[in-house]
Amino acid sequence: MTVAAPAAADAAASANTVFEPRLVAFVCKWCTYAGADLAGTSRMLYPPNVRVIKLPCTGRIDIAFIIRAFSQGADGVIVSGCHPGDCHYSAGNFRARRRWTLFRDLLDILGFDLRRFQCAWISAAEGTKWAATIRDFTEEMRALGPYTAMRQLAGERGAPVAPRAAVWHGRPARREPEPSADPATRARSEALAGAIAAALTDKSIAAAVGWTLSPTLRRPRPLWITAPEEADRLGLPGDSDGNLARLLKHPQLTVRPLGMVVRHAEMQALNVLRQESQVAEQDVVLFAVARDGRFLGRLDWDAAVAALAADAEGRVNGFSPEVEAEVSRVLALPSAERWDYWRTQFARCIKCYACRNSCPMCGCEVCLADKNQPQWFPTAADGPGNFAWHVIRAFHLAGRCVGCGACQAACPAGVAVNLLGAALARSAAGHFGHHAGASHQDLPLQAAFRTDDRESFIK
Amino acid sequence: MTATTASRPATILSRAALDTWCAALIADGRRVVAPVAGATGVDYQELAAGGIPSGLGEGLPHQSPKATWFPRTEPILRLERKGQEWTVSDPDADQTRTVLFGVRACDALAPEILAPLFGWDWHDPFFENRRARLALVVLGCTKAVDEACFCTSVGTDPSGTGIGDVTLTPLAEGSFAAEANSDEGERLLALAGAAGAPADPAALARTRADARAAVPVRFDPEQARAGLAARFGDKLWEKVSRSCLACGTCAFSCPVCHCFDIQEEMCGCQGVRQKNWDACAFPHFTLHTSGHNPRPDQGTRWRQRLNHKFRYFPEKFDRTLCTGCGRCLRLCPAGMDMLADLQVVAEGAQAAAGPTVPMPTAGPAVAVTQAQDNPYRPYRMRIVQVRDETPDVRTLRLEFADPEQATGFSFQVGQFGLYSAFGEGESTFCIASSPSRSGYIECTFRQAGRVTRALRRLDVGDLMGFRGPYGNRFPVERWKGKHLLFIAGGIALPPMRCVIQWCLDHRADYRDITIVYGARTPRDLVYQDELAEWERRDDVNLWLGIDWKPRADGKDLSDQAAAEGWPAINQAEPGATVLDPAQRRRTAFVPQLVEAVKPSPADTVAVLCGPPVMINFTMQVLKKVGFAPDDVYTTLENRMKCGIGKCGRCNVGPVYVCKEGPVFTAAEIARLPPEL
Repeated sequence: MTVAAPAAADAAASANTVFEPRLVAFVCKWCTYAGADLAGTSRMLYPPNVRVIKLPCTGRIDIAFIIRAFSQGADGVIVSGCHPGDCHYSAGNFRARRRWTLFRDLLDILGFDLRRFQCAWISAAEGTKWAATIRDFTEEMRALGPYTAMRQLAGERGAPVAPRAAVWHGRPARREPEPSADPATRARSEALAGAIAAALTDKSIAAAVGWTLSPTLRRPRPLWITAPEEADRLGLPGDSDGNLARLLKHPQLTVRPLGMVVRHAEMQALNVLRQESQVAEQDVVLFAVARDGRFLGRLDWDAAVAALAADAEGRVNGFSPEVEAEVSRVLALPSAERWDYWRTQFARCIKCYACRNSCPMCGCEVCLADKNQPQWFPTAADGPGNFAWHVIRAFHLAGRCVGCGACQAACPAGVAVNLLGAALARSAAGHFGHHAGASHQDLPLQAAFRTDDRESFIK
Repeated sequence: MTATTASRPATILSRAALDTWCAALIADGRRVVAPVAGATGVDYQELAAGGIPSGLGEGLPHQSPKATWFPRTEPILRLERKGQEWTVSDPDADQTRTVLFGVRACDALAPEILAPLFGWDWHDPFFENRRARLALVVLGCTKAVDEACFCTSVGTDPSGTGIGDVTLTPLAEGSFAAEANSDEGERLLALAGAAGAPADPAALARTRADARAAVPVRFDPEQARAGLAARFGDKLWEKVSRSCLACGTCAFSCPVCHCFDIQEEMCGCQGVRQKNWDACAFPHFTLHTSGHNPRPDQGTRWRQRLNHKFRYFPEKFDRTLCTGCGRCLRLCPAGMDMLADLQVVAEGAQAAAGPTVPMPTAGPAVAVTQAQDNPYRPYRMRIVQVRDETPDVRTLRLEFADPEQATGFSFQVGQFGLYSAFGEGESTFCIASSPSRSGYIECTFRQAGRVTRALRRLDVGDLMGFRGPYGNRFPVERWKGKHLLFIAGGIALPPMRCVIQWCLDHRADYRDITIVYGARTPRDLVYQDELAEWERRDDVNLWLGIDWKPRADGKDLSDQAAAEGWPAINQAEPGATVLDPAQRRRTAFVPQLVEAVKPSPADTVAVLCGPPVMINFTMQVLKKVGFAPDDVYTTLENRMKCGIGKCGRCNVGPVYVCKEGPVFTAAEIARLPPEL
């Protein structure tokens, strides 16, 4: 699989009339690989177009593998493993099934040709099914021809696409009111600061995170303090799009319990983090602030969730109506136009990772994008590099993204980063009834499974 | 952009004439990048045929046009593998002539500010090629966009007078006065069609003066420079950086931030090595493979950003590395405020006359000869010998695969190079062999990261890459007639082997040569054959030490070590130990062993290399026994990518370790910021 080869293959396709697709199969070693072996030892014929990559379990099939296969020139990818209930590790394929469902939706959202990504359950005894599946898949891909959309992207390797018109800018120009300007605001702000100062004084919290205004532009800016006398620097969040739950990952802010000024967005994020055992109830002390700026007091977890629930009104899966309207518009486009839409969006990306670093959920100690052994992500801010970054990030957030919009507000290049999250949130709700951050008692979407999760696309 | 001697007076162009002019520029075969208004703001965009600069005069575009002269991803090398053979070639140079049309003065100044860096002594042909093909039509501002504009504080003229090739000054009636600043500007203006009416020079001057007055000066860069030096160790940095998210927004949106990473990607048998934008805010920026990070927290990283822009760069290139566009304030998702921080440090600071840190000179610079146009293209080297020094340390001996390249190649004692495993990337090592043993170079490395792992997979006959030599050298001629004391720990003997070999090959020039070398265990001592040879020589005093740290179960292994021929020294009082010259292998940490050896500082030069903790304690010992910091040399290994003073990664204080280093004296290091 070389850069030049796709072009050569295209040429061959036109010259020789028969196009030979390159297919990659990621299979579990216990069932499908054994099934393929059986097909071979049984002398069953099937086309040699497929490269089989053996993995311990379908649960090990990282979607980064699939993206990489496509961006390195595959015309089709098939993933396959043990039938549900037959997993040699008990539940790997149940988890894989959830992931494939979400990933398939993600590909569809992107305008990817779904026929090129197939899933199957093939047991060790089903050599015939393997041979037939590969025969059919190869025939179908041969008929479809080379996957030019991905190759076009691969051709953009090493050279960023010139950004086209901005479609979506996350950062509206706005100013926050000076805390001292309006007496009502000032009183609320002082009440909040007073409560935090009291908590720092009685040592029920070791530090507090809240908002202050940046000196020059007077914009809300996160601040953490450790002494009660610093509390008067804290103000109201206004309608800042940042998410303070992010600061739970601050490498220098390790003391607990941590006082936190929470709005609906922070509360949702905290719910997800608690589902995932990334934060415990006793780690944070909540100072709730409503969307209209009212300080609701120092509340315990459930009370804060309840008190802030009203702020979710008008939002869908946590996302604002404007984001939802844009998602609906994009999803209604024909798939080729969707593909073009996202390519244009990703072309703007400069890979500053502000989306990741502002996200309360992106908390891996070392991000997959920063690992280089192996290097799953192309590092460049070019066609394949940006595609891999945004798709894998969206997938890692599927079922976790609470729609706070911190990434969108952070993006300095105006990429519509949270639209993918909003679209995937619809999938999570539609397939699994999952609403990220609705409650800390829910099970994390991708870590959990039900044996009766429904799907209709796995052969 | 050569200045014209007698410029035409400014002519008046209508707004519509500017659109026509853009069309003419495109028709002339130029790529025109101009501000275009979108749904929610203005961006610099390439105009398609028939496109108009609809965002002209609508504030400042979101992103800087930096990618025009410094793309966010730029191929610098193409790789191709055929079997075990590799070929490397330069990417095609971009031939496009670009006009940045309606660019603001703060953006237009950036290439000029960066030119000294990219053409410092090594020339970066990628930047220079793009800049040579770039023409700037600057649109003067009439007012500040918002409070984040501080161009006048850093010497940028918002009216754009004299900046770029053509200056457009917006006039009250909606038209523009166009003035050419260069011959290229005259050529561009000639494409604008029929010359408009001449502008009234007095009115034009007034408009421009008003523009300058409209942006208030917020701080004095000279005071900021002094303040940054004075408050380097201040708690301020930790406090102001608390909200920093460690993303790259400020650097990537900055027109003059130029730090980059070098990465390579393979697709089948073809690959590309490319520069990618990088940012000092990223924790990985300075992270060593060992896990040591010289800038371990966001406070030190933010401090570096401000110091680099307003202190180090000006002291080196006489220009502030900032044009005052204010994007880092506007776009920061966490509301970081560089301007406010600068105002704080500048307040009350006494402007310093000269550099705040004297430039190190103990390691003599080596004249640069750029043998090939593309300084990033490595020589292809053939591995002719592979030696395993320890279970995880290996030495490769390399010869030029293209013998004609060998004839022009020379290096000096202490220089380093970048070694590449094709398809994986580059790593920095000192050249471990001496120039006095010519015909080959050697590198010794411990398997630690992606590249060293890949290098370990290579065998005799395989190809790898080498570029260099880079950096300064040891002043071996100044050491003539002196005693020499070499002190190394663990994997740090290889960087010193070059200078040791040189001195042994010129043995008559020097007096006593003492080598103190230590490692964790006897198995971790590298160059065993050479150590045995040095041990045999009666003109070399070799002392070897091993740690034999107590095991996890608390059992002291020193008895076992003694039984194996490594008796311990008096660890509590190393200085009181009387060493038996017949027993040169001892159990002792390197600093203790040095103290026990009792080197005399008289007429002696010490050369030291090792991990930071060893350096630290050994320095204390050398000080105790009376060595002057000027007589203690070391070679630094910072994280490096380019090796030629461009990528910004190894910058510490005024120094680019790859250029002014890697050889420094202890006295020089003591003056540098503690970021090593």
